[in-house]
Amino acid sequence: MNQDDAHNPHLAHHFDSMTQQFESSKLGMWLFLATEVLMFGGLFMAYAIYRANNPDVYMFAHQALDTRLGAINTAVLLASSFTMAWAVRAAQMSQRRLIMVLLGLTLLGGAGFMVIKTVEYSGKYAHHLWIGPVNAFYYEAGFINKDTTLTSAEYYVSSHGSPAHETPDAAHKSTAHETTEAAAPSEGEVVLDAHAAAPAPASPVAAGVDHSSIQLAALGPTGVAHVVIAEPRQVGVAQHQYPKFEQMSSNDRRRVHLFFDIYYLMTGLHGLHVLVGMAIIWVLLHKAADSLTRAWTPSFALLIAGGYFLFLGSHLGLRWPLVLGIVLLLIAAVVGFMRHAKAAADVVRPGAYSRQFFDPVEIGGLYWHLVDLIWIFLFPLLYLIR
Amino acid sequence: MTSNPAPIITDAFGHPRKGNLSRNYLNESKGILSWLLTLDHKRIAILYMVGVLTSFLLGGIFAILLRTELIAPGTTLPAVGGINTTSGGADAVWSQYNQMFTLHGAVMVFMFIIPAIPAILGNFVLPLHLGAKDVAFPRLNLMSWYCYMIGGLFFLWTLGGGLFVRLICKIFGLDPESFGQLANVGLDTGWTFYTPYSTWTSSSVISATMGAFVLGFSSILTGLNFIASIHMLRRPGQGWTKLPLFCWGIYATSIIQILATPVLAITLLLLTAERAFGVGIFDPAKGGDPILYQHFFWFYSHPAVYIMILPGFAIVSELIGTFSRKHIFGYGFIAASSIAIAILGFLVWGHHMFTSGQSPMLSAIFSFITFSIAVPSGIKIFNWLATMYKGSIRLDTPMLYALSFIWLFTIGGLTGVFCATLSVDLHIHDTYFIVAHFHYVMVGSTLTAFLGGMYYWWPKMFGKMYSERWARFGCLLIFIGFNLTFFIQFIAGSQGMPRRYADYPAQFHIHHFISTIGSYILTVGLFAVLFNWIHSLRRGAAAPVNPWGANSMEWQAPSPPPTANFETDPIVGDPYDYSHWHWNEEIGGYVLEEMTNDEIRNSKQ
Amino acid sequence: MMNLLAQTQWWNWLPEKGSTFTQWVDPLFYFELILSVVLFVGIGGCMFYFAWKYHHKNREDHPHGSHHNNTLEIVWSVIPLGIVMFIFVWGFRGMMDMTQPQAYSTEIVVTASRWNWQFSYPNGAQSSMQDGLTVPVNQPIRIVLKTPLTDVIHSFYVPAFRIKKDAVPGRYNETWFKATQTGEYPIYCAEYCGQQHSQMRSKVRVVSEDEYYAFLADAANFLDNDPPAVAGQKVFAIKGCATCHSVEGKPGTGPPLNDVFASKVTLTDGSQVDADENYIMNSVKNPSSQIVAGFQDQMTVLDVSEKELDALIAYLKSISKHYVGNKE
Repeated sequence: MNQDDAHNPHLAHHFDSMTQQFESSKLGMWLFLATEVLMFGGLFMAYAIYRANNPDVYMFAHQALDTRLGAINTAVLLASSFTMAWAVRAAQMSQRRLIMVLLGLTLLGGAGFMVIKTVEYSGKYAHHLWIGPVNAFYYEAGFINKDTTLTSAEYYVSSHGSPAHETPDAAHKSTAHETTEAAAPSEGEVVLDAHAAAPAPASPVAAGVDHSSIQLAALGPTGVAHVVIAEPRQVGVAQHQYPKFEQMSSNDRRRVHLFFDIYYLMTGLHGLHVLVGMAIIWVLLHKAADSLTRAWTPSFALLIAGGYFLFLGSHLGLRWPLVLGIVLLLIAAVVGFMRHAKAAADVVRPGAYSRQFFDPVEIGGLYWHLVDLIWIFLFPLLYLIR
Repeated sequence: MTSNPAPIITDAFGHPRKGNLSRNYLNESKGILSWLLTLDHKRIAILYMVGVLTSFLLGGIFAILLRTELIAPGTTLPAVGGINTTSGGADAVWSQYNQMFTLHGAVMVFMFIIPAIPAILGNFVLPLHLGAKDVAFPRLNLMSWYCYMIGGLFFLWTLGGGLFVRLICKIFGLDPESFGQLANVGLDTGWTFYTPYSTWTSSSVISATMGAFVLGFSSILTGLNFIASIHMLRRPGQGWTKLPLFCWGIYATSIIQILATPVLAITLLLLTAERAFGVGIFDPAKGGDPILYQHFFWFYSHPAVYIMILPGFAIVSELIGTFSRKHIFGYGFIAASSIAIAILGFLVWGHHMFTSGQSPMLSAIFSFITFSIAVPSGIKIFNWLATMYKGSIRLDTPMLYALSFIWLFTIGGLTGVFCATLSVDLHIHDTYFIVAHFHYVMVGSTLTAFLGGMYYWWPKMFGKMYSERWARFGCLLIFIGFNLTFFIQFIAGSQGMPRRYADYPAQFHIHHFISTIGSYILTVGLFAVLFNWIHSLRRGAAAPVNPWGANSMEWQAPSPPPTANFETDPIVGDPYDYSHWHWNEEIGGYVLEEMTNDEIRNSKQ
Repeated sequence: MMNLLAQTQWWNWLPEKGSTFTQWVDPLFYFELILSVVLFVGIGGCMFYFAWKYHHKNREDHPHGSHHNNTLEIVWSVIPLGIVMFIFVWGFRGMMDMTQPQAYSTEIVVTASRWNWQFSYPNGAQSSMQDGLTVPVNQPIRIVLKTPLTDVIHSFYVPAFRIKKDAVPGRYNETWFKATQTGEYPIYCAEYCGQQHSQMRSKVRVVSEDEYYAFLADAANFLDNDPPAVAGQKVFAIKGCATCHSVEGKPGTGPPLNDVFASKVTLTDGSQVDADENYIMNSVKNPSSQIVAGFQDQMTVLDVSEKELDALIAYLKSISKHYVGNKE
């Protein structure tokens, strides 16, 4: 056994040396990452198969995704990956203060990603493009949602990819309400506007199942009456590349909702991984902090959570997230000052990570990079490919 | 062995042991918490043993019930637990049967066969085989056991959770319908959860799929731990060629666990999403594709078959060598064949779908690769026989199980050739021929190897010997009962008896009758084993350090080992070179020649 | 039991030969069986012989045999590989013939649903699960397999013909056969499909060509030729209504249907509806909308034409004591 290592308190009893321990954890993490890749592999496979079988569905439905927000999110996640990698470097160099700053920034990057994801999700929810039956294109032996829901959602989908939206005026078309405003108004759309801006339906299934159409739909054309939608005025070159819903084959039409299912499952599972990654980074931050700063790390987590809820409340116009956010911020302040008072009375102890022991930072970093990597694949597959 | 007077407690060299002889990993610390929070791989193995054997009992009860239902055509058992039906007649009996075979399959596959050998014997033996103090990640190891138990709780919820919800509803006057799928009871999808049946049925599918999902994590963590341990924790001087074949088998198994299980996880998550959110990826009524589900499912579940059988090979390779007292024949080929099976196992899943309407070319490719797996499987059997050739064979209980394994696996393997044949499979697919085939491989081979391994390492695990006579009797009963139960099913299946039938044409009466009688004999045999073990725990004579004369490192540790496994650093040698161990009548076991590490290393094989 | 033992032909592993596919499956099956027996006897024999011959009670033996031989390893890798490749090619040729219909004379649509087989012939005739599938002998027959979109997977299995093909909702599958002998052969469902999976049994009647055409002529156009109530009874059988709905008053998976017409039916929500023509139509076309109290929502939406529906309604009227029209 290495003499230096023998005294290292971080060496577990069943390892002979710190190197062996470090290499083991790294191998373990890589193996775990392999399982993660294979787990997402299943979803990528489902994506690929449905894309290969129904290319028009993807051409049509992916217009609903906001490329701009996706790109911003990619940048945010890449930046957080950079700060994470830098944090590992800082740990190896024993730059204790820098580790804390960088881990904090990484954590904020993750939070920023979740905020933007929330904007995207809520926009689609407002336009009846949610998962499962709460989707305008939902099909179960027939289109079961109301015609009006379908048309407004269809309009939302097809107007998104149009060049009209590439104008700088529409740059911040993030929320549901703004989107419909930004869509260049014309004669037929005033009515549609009302639909789109209407509050999200509680459950279109419960309300609007037209039972007699189910059998018909299974046999022949969809049985859904279509309101002809006025074309957006500025028809660009790109416009004709996108299929129109009513021009698609019946096989394609009944699979449109599957695109959204796959989209939500992929990004949802990825979002879950981002949350897990944030938890891991928070633990790293907590351990990396010296005892004085450590007094404030729980408050930092509460601050992020509170900030998120404040944003959620203002974005959706709901009161309870606002209240919850304010409460969380208050708790953050109280907890912070109490812990600070306690820590200040004691001797200041340094953070855990240094040149001698930085394994967890590196291992946690690996996980964060994987989360980033998966998004690097998700973004072009879902948002960009035409 | 029980007749021997209490042997002298010695170390591997036959010297009386110093220090506190009565202290070992079993009694190192006391209290239920010291077990539930333990990080010791040996204690976790025991925890797993309790869980896995309980599951085996549960799955076995379902097996006996379903065999009893099938003893005669028509309905046999009273209708107690029908679902999807309101009448108390034959409908309910059929529905009840469907649940029994489903739960039998699901419990046995996910909770018994997959974890049995890796999680119990692998956990106990693998670190000892490496001369290590523990697995690489003891905390993950404990977490995997908790995952296993949580998965088990999900399955228990599947069994009775809905009844509980209904009871609560009755007490408080609520409507069970308002609890949605929480009020569903039982599981009748078959362990394969094929869509769209599993999307449609009103049984408790979500809890079962989430159970299998969590159990998958347990499996992944175990596999991850073993791979990291084998890579990082080998004793200095223990190169890859000095690894016991058990480690190679477990290594190959772990590769599959790590690479295949996540795909099952995502498949089951998607299925859960189907039921919980109404997602339609696998549901044809919603535009989805049920065949895609089958591809996803078998992408995991065919490799999972090798998760079940490779550890069996691993154990038998140890047993054959040890009890022939001759160096294992073709070490490199046996080790490489395990890895080859693990890799090829990923490329054959489509052979479960020859009749599903997949393209003939696809079927042909899958069939071709499936046939090629016959080669590594054959290599193992031939090498075992070559090991026995001119050996010095002792027919102790573990060896009897090993021989029984060769017999049963040969039948299971050869009938696999029928199933892989494209034209013949069109006839025998989804018949009792398949049922018999996979029971020969999974139960006949894996269970037999598991029991053989348990008897082999029993003295090391508990420091007690067992009644050799009763152990052999149990082995014989299991062998007879098993063959009686399942061989006849080959004939029934090739005659056209479809599987998963609650009721059947009268022409198959005799087959089912014999099979059911066989299953009763098998049950008696398994209980004989259980009583043999219990008897050993209570009355067994103290075990020597090395009762078999094997040379892998666990036999240098005391029986049972202390928490840190070895009292002195174990000597690393060729695990199949038995020449340095000599029988000592006084001790009732083998003792090691006094040699230095260098001498061992430089000695001829 | 002894009788059964004596009657069973243990040497006969495969069922009777009913189609041309037996020429692919049977020889290969028996080839594999004999090969397996030979290999098994070889391996098992070696094992027992070694266990007996080299059995030593002495624990001190240290036999020093050779423990590797690359030539041997290659031999016992290559020989099995050769054998299985031979089997593969044989099986592949069989499968190509068995799954790809050549020129066929008759095409029959087999609709599998929970838990019924419905057979539809080229001239519009249909036959029920009880009556079975009638086909002419020595004619290649293509089977088109389908399942309603809301149903589950089934599998069409005729052991005597050695064919099996899944019926998957959302896609058509096909298979074919040429029966070689007249007679009756069982049809099984071979893919687990729920409660009455084991009851989803029917039969193939292989008849001479003349008999087949006579059957076709007789079975066709019954909706036009028979009185509505009689035709309705046939529709009731063909669509497999009887698997869940008894007409003798016994509740099954679904409610019994005798004495229903013109009665009051209580639904799960407690409301009562009149069982009139509209109720029947609604229950067939959209079964989920009105669930009878005490039963569950699990009926498949079947493809029922207007004519068939009229006939069904007439049949249900004829078996209801509440329907006054019957008294005349």
